[in-house]
Amino acid sequence: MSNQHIILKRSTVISICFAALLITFAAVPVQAQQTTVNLNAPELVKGSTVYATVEIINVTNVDAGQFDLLFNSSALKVLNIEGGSIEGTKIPLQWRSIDADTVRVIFNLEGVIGISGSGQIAKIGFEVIGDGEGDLLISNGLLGNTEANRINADWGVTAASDVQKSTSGFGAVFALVGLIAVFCMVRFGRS
Amino acid sequence: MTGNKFLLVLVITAILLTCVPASAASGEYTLGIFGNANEDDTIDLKDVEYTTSLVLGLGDQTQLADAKYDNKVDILDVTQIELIMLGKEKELTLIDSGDRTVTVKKPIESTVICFPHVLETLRSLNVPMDSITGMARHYPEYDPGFFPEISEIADVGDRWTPDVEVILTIKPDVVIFTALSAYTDTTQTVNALESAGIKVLCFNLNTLELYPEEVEKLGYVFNRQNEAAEFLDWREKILSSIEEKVKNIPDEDRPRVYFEAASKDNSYNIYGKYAYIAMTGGADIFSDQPGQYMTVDPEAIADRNPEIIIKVGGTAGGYDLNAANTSELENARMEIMNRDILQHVSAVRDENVHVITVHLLSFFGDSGCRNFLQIPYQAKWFQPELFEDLDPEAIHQEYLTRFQGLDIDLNETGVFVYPTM
Repeated sequence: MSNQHIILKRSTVISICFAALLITFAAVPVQAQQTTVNLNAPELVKGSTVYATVEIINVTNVDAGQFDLLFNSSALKVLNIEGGSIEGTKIPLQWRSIDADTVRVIFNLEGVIGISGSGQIAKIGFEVIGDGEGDLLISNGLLGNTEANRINADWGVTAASDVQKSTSGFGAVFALVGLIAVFCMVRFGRS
Repeated sequence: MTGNKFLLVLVITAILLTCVPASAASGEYTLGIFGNANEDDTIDLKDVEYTTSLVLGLGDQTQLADAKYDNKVDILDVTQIELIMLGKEKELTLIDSGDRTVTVKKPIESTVICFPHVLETLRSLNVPMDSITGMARHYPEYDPGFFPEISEIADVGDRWTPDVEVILTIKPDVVIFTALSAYTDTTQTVNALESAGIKVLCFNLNTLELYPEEVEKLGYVFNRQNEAAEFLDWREKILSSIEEKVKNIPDEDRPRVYFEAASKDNSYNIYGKYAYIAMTGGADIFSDQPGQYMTVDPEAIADRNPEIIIKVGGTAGGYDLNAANTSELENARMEIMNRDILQHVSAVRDENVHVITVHLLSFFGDSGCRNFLQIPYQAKWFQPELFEDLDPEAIHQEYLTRFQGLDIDLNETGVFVYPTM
């Protein structure tokens, strides 16, 4: 068996390995498509105005949503809530105090066109008025799509440190690198 | 907008929406479709606003705000209402005329119908006739010229007791059945179809007052809201123009009217609720009766001395006769004119006896939805000066041409009243 044959055979094996890796990573974005809603709470300093944000990651065809924002009214006073944007589309938002420690936030995009991607749903301005814990929490979260059906979403992450980064872009980059590597190896093996 | 300002706007909106009673809207009914959150007669942006307010904890919860019909009102209901407005909803839940809550999948592409007036109504909505995949029959069939497509539609049996097995083979998206159960028990048919997974909607379609709501519902079911609105607007203008004039007529200027729905031998029947005498400018000599189909004493007719008699000409007349062929209606009028006991009543003495065919009345089994055409004819008979410019035949012709798409010229075809106008 010539050296060239050995090199070709080796490159074939490596190609198969890369293909297997590609398949593996192709499956990763499916898991990463889980829609996540994060509440990014800032550090609280008494007497200051702070902003919490509600981030959304990997949502598909979202048209509307609602959630309750719970907080410790001894420590925090809501000043304002502004709509954010998802992939450049502004989020029209409405909110209302349900009780002293709860505000309900709803958004409904104009028409029923839906948007997909990641972004920020809301930015909440608080005045820190006390020394206690902020106890910021989202509850009763609900996202709806363009068919008026619930979008399954993970609403459990409440701290900034828990923000999960999107892996779909990572998967795509990795797949591209893999393809280039396979291409180079095949070319190298033939020369 | 700050929270307080937004709250103020919402509160004002909620108060305004609450203060506007449903009857103050253009119609006088609550459209029984889940999504009609403010319970007026239509589904529009006001329902979006109303439901949004509810989600935010403002306003009074209404049954119909639950557009998704899942026993809770949330932001998904707002989207569902928007979808209904656009005709893009995947499901629609409504309360039919049998007071049944039914959820239908949309779009509707295959429909089985059990009565011709469903076909006629769907024609007014411009629903494609090839989506009618089955139709119940009843013999004899009247007005084949009015329903030329019936022979092309699969036969699913008798209209009151359709053949469930045949319908199941068609697998329609929906069956439109009757909401009337007085004639026969329809629950067995409904239950058999629904237990087999077939959606059933029950509608009357022969009641003057209920018809607009039923048509509007069908407009939503078949994504023909605009067509329903156009037809109902046209119909409403006719009826309201008559109503506006009639409501100011004092009692002493209303002629006493006897409306004979049917007769056999010496038995005479009235049907007060479908005579529409008061709304057309007359005074019913039997207004003290309950309005149901019932026999009256011949002497009572004479004693109450009607100034005008309306005789229903049975199934005589209709769309299959030459316009000049009025002999059956003439005979019906002559029978009244020659009836011994009536010889001294004003109507006979003054020859104020009119015959109208059942083809334009609510209780015509084949198609009772043309009853709105009865109103102009009667108004003209009861108040000829007030309705000098009213042209019932022109209205009838417009209905046939514009909304039914029929090539029927009433100058040549069809007999409906006698003496002719």
